[in-house]
Formats: sequence, structure tokens, C-alpha cells
Amino acid sequence: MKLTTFADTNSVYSCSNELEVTRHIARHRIVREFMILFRNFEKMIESDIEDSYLDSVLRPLRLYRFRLASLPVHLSSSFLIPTELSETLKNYVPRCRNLFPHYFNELEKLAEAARLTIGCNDAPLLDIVKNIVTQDGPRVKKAILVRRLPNLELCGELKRKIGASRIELVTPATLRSAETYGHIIAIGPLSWFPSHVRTAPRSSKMSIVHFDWLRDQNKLQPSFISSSNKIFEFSSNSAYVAELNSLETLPDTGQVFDESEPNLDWQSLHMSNVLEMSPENGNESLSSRLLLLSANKALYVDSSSGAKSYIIEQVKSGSTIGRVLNEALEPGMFILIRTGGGGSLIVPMADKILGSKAQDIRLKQKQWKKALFSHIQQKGEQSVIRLLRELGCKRASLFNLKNWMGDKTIRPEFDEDFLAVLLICGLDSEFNAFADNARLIDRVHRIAGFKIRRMLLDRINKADIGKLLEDGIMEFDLPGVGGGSFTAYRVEDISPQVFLVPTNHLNHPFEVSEKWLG
Amino acid sequence: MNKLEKCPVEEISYSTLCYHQEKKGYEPFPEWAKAFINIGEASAKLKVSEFRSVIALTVPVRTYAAVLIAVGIVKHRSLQSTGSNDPNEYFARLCGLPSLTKIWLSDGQKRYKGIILGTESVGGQHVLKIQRFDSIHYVGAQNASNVEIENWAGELAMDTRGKRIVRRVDFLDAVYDGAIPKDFGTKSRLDAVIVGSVARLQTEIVNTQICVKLPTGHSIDGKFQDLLRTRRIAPDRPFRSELVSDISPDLDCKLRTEDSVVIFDGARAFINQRDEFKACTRIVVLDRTTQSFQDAVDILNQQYVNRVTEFPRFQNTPGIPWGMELMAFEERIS
Repeated sequence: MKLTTFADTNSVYSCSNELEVTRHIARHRIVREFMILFRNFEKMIESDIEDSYLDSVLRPLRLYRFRLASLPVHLSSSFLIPTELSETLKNYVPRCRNLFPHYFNELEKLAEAARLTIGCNDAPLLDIVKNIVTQDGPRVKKAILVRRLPNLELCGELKRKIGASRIELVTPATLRSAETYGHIIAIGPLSWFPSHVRTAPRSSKMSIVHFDWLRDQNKLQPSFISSSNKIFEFSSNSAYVAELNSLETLPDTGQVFDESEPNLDWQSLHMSNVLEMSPENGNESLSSRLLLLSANKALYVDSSSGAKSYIIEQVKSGSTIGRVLNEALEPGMFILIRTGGGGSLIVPMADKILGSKAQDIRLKQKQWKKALFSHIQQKGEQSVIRLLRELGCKRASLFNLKNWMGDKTIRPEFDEDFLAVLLICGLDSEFNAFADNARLIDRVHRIAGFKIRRMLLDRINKADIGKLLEDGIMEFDLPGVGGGSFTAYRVEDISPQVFLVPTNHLNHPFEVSEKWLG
Repeated sequence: MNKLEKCPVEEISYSTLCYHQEKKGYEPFPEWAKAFINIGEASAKLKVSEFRSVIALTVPVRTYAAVLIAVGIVKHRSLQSTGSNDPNEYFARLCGLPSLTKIWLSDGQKRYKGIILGTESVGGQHVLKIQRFDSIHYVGAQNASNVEIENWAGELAMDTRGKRIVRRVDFLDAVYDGAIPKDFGTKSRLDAVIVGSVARLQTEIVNTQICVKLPTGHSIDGKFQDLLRTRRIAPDRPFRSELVSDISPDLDCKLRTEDSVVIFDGARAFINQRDEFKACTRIVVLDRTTQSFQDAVDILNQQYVNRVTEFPRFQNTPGIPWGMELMAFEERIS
């Protein structure tokens, strides 16, 4: 979002040219035992992996495993523990005795290991991070890179725990901008992150912090088939193992590696949301893409060509609102969504402009819509469509009929269609009056839209954009316009596939349920 | 012998070209920036053949790559005159144009919209009759280079004052090491086309402060626009490059692009618009951080598999930054 200057661009190239990567390995006995049991159990149930009971037991455990490996907090932190995990351990695990008796003993052991881990107050990853941060000193601008940020509170909590200034908690989407850092500390193996984190680095100093049971991909493959395999060799590369003195010395149990990469289960996220969807007034379904946003939100946007969204852009004079094609949306952009006020903001603003005339003008508008509605109630939709066509309405269809009756449509676009509608309503003698009324509403709505945009721009320009960049979310309220507000969210990820969604569910952010596959 | 052996990639001296850095003042162009200018220049040297040359590169950040490459292209092409070597041949071509053809007529330090009315014989000399806003002008073969064919927009009647010709000779002279041709800044030719986000590219071209430091210690300020002469940014003025939207190809269809080098600035620009500019040498700049990076890479890899020949020496361009991949080859035009 920030305007990228030549100097910013130069900083990015300097990061590439001077890149040094250091690996820090965390070892922790309790976590490792939990991991070994988990891996063994997953191997054991391979033939029954599709079973819904086993899936419901393993999902919260996988999420916990992913979080403890990807967030530098205490093992007992509430940020790590999925809400349904205690229920799973308490009630679901015992059911295994009846459902899968041959797995029960191993699952019991795994559940016990999970309980032990949850009860442990050690913070192996956090200890390493603190150590790195202390060595850097306070003047270096640092970023802790996490695969997924569950909520904003975690940022504050981590900053407090680490106790250092000039530190940001970032996701891979943040590293798509040209902002550079003095040191990036990635939590988790680099293979968990999009390849640009390493191939287009935003810091010349990177530390990778992960548990010993996670394997990382050391060699990056070039993109072009003609490129040499040495393209990503470092000018200097050092790695060391950070042993934590406070922990017991581990017996050598051989290498136990987990190569699973955490991914968002888009299909599952969609399915959990789609169950709550109910098309309103026969709204059609549209193909849409699912965006993962900051602050643990997700959003459907129309994926048809030509569909656009509002974003906040940085220009020379400050911030502005831009419109981009949805197909051109990229992670790292800030999408602007209407989140408060209910209904359209345009109408209250337009009524404010119309003043005392507003009521009469709206009543006139409702007059023909009501008449059309009651006509349909009496005769039925198909019969009205047939009649409209006979009267010269070329665009009479069920979809258009519903649109014309709806609040969002001012009038049928073409005069011949509007006249036909007024004819069946018995209002055709006042065609000119209705057309003038609609023209006035249209004009005032445009002025209202322009005013709202201006107000919003004003709010955005007065806002602390630095805070938006750091938090990834910011709400902009518009006082005096029916409590309307907009929220800017950072786009974190975009679903590769499209989903069919009722139109009334587009552009409404919703909470992301825990659908990460650890 | 492949085409590049005739025109090897050489390091050119840009040590005096500087960019402005807040709090620090002017700093010399870094190596990566010089590398892009060199790549642009080397690609402009490739001769047009029945095959199409493709140069693809991956960058850690999209900004400035396309603009700097375009500078290299325009710099190299500017050494070639825009007009025909034979003024009589050009004059004969002008005389053959249909009546009411729109042209620009240079007169002193200004250029005016004009319309060809036909030819006449004045004092026994064959001349071109041109209508300007309020007067008729006659142009003979010796002044034919003052006439430039271009389908300008707007009304002839509105062009009362003409457009001042801004050459920035001092700046250009310093950048081009004294090799600036006479017609740079006065004549149009489409040397480079950048397909990408027009607003962003426009910001880079117009808002970036650059300068040339002279051996005397003095410096001359300028903008990339002084070097690129982008048509969209300064319409109705002589141009050397153009910006085209990566959303919809909005290039004036009357412009000749056959000899241009086209730069696709970003994966989306390449994926959406790669069927345009079919015969042109193309440079594809792919920002590694973008969503469609891999899709574009897959297309280019497929094209590379079906290549006719390749230009490995592009990879020896000095100053290529760490991790930047460069693939240069020639393919059949489908």
C-alpha cells in the first residue's frame, strides 16, 4: 500500500544481495514426545484416515500442533489451544474404545501427551526469539514472521513478552510490500512460507526458528528451467543449533521428522460457512473467490470478469481509494469493506441532500414498486412477465422483475421497459412524472456516493496509516450517515478455487473458524 | 552465429546517473538499476527476424524494473534517426498521403496540429499544402522532416498556440554522453511499450527525481519522462515510449509497434496481454511476490521448451542481483 520509491526499491535489492540466513533449532522433550506419539498414531490409522470420528478427534490436535510450532508463546498459552480441544480430549477420545478399540491405547497415550504439553509452562520458541532480539539491540527494526496470525491480541501479548521496541508481528502477505526490516525472525521452517519470503527477502538478515522435529527444505528450486541450480546459493550461510539450558538433555531417539505443511482448508472453510447461507429474495448464486483477511476474517468477492473492489492505495499526496478488478487483488493489499450501518449508506445520505422533499420522492418511487408487487401477487410472476413482453418490455424476466421491485434498483434502465411496467400498474399516464422522479433519485444517489467517498477519504487521510500497516485492520466510521462504517483489511491469502455463493453473501466479512490443516 | 554475438552485452557507463534519497540527497544509480538499463539496451540491439525474442526475468520487487529497461531500449534506439535517410523519399511519401491526413508541423520551438490539404506547385517547386489553425503552410522536400504523421486527438481549431518542444538538451546530452541525436525530443517513434499498471508506472516515470552529475561537479535534474518521452504522460508531444494498461489493451491502434520492444510489467500483464504485440521483441518482468507469478513462469517455461534458439549471454549482464533469474530465447510466432 505504501508508495514505493526508488530508495525503497534499492533497499529490497540490498536485502537480496546481502542475505544471510541462520537457523535456530528448538528442542523440548515434552513437545517431542507428543510429536512422536502423534506421528505414530497418524501412521497407524492411515487406512481409516477418512473416518469422520477420527478426523474430528485429530483436527483440534493438528491445529494445536501447528500452533505450538508456529507461534512463539508458552506451551500453555490460550493462544495455542483450540476451543474444542479440551472437549475432544475429555469426551471424544474415550469413545474410541468402542469405535476403534485397536487404536484406543495409542490415542489415550497421545491425549495424555497433549495434556502434558498443554500443562507445561515452557516457551521454547519464545526463549530463542528473545535471545535473538537481545543480541540485535533495540535500534534494529525487527519482524517476527508467522504463518498465520490468529488475532491481534497476540501481537500485544508477544511484544510485552519479548519486551523490545521496534518489533512487528507479520504474516507473509506483509512481506509482499517493499517494506524492509533489519532482521526477520521466521517461526517455523521456511518451507511453510510462500517461496517469495526467501527468494525476494525483505531483510538481509533472516533467522529461522523451529522445532527439531520439523524438517525444512534447504534448497530452493529456480523458477525458470534454464536457470542454474546454484541461483539461490548464499554468499554466506551459517546455521547453529540453539540448546536451551533450562531443559533436560534429550536422549538420541533418531530423527523424527514431520514434513506436513500447514494449509488452509478452503473447501472446509467454505462448507462451514455455506451451511449458514440462505439466499434472500431468490438472490442468484455467483462464482466467487474466498479471501482470507487479517483479524481472522474471510470474505467472498465476485470472481466474474469486470467485478471490482475498493482498496486503499498510497499516492504521492497520501492515501486514496482505488478500485481494482477482483482478479487483480493480491495478498498484501488493503481491501475496503462496508461493515457498519446496515442497509445502504447512499439512501440516508441522499435523503439528507433532498431535505424535506425526500419523503415525497421516496413515496412516489414506492408507488409503482408496490403496484407491481401486488400485481405479481395477484397474477403470478410468469403471467406478469408474459404481459410485460406483450406490452413491449424486451427485458422482462424473473431476475429483472425481482431487481425492479427491489430497493437497489431505481427503475428499469430502458424507457420501453419502464413504460410497460407502469402500463400494467395503471400508472402510465404519469410516465413523465415517474421518470423525472427516478432521474432525480439517480442524480442525488450519485452525489451521495461522491460525498460518502469524500468523507471516507478524509477519515483515511486523518487515520494513522502506520497502525493499519502494523495491525492489518482499521475501521473508518462515517458520523451522521446512519452509523455507517468501512473497514480496511489486509488480504492475507486468496483461494485458488472458486465457490458458488448467493449474491447477498458477497462482500460480508465473516469469522474464520479453525480450518487450518496442521 | 546467433544474433547476440553481433551485439554483445556490454557494460555502459551510467555512474553519473543518480536518484534522490531522502535525507541523503543524490546517490549514484546502484548496480541492479544499471543491470536493467543494460538488459534494455541489449534487447534493443536484437535484430528483428521471422522469430520473436523473449527475455524473461524474475525480480524481488516490481518497481522501476520496467522503467529502467525502457530507458535502455530508448537510449539504444535513439542513436538511430526516426526519419528516412533520404528526405526526398520521405517527402514523396507525405505527398502520397490522402487529403485530410492529420500531421504535426514543427515550427521553431513549437509544434502545431495540421492537416494535409494536398500538393501544389509554388514557384515551380512541388510543395505540400498544410492547414494549421489559422493559416496555410507550404512545405518543400528540404523541410519535410518538420512534418510528422500522427493521428492527433481533438480539434484543429483548438490548437491556437501549439505545443512547446521540450528537449531538455542539457540533461539528455549528459545522460547520452553527448550522443543525443538531433531528432530526439522533436520526432516520435515507438521504441518501447510498457504493459502494466498505468497509474503506478506513471508515478515512477513522473515523480522520481533523478539527476546527472557532471565531471565539473555540477548536476542537472531530470525525470525518467525526459528520457522516455511517454506518449500517455505528454500527449501531443513527440514520444518514444508508451504505457498500455494491463487490464485492457488501450494502445492507439494507429501506432506502429512492429519495431518496438514490449515490456510486460508483471505476471498479470503478461498473462492477460501476451496475445497482443505478437511480432515484437518482448521482455517479461515477473515479481516473485505476486499471486500469478507461478502461472506466468509455467507459460514461459513451456515457451522455452519450444524455443528456436537461446541467448545465454544475457545472463552475463553485469550487476544482476542475487536470486534474479534471466531467460532469453527466440521462439516461433504462433
